[in-house]
Amino acid sequence: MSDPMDVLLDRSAPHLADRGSGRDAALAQMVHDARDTARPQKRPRRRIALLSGALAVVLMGGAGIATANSDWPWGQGLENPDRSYTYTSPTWGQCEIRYSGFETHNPLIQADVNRVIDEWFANTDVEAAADPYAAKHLAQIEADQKAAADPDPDPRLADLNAWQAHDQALSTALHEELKAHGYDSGAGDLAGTESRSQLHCEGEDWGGEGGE
Amino acid sequence: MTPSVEPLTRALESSASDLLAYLERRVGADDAPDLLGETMVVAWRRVKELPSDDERARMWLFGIARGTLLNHSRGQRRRWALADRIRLQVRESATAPPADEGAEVRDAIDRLEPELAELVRLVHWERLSVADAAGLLGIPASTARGRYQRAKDQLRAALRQAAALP
Repeated sequence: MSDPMDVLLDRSAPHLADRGSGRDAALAQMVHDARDTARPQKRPRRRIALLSGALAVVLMGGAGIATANSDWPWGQGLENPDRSYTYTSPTWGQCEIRYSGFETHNPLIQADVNRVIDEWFANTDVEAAADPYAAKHLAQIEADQKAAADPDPDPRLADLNAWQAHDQALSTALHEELKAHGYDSGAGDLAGTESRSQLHCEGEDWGGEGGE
Repeated sequence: MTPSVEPLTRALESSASDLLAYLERRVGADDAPDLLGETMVVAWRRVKELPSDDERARMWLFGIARGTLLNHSRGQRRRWALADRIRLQVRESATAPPADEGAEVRDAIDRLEPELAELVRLVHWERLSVADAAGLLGIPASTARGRYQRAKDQLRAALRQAAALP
């Protein structure tokens, strides 16, 4: 015979709203999306779309690169999506980082350094190239924050960390490529070099801050 | 699908509904999808720690979900894009939770000491065994059994004052 108290306690569970027949499918999709979020995957379809956008500009006779594939106001020098890297952010969804050319302040290497970079972005699956470094950089960033005496309460922290980790990963992969072509940043070959990048995510939240 | 992916996919898919219910009963329908999303992301990041036994895997997931609840209680809030689909279902759901008669009992549970109250909720709302609830709370099973009996005694006394109980 069941204990009346057990029956009462069982029945005290708050009732939950009915999600309808689509809930199981939605949860199954969430499982797969979570896997993508936990370990950012390369996005070849997005890359193809970007290249198609650039091609459309050519066919239209240069009607304006900045508006050919995105309404987003990319900064000066970042309008061309050829130097682009995409990843999935924890809450901001799909993100794109664009990179400017390198200003080496050295006329002897300026053109060749940018040729190497352009060819690398054009011929390499840069997401795959950066992938081995992204998790390592993210782990380091999170470890540093965990060790900090005063944890950062910013609710955007996961997205900001992902941005930093992917930016560092792409930079690491790019500098490996430059090193293979004789430009070793670790040896000071690119000392004083300047470059810029800009991030744009589908669901970004800067809280009034700029994204560049 | 690689061998390390399939077991966690299976474990998550089989427990997702229960995890969502667990989270929803603690934080409500608005925040629960985000905590479930965070639970899943953390689980994937720690996939190498997934127990091979199905029941232990399920409790491992509940443990991660409990961690997200503790973070939530400390004021951490994140919106996970991957939770959008579930969140949308919640918003579009035309079926509101039916009125239930458990409010008085829930109030009595809420008045217990927190560690007793959560033990009762885990056993009677999430249908965990006392031993599994003990594991989730990080206390010995013998301690949990003692607390559980103490919690029921206190609830019986409290509810007897409000309504006639045998």
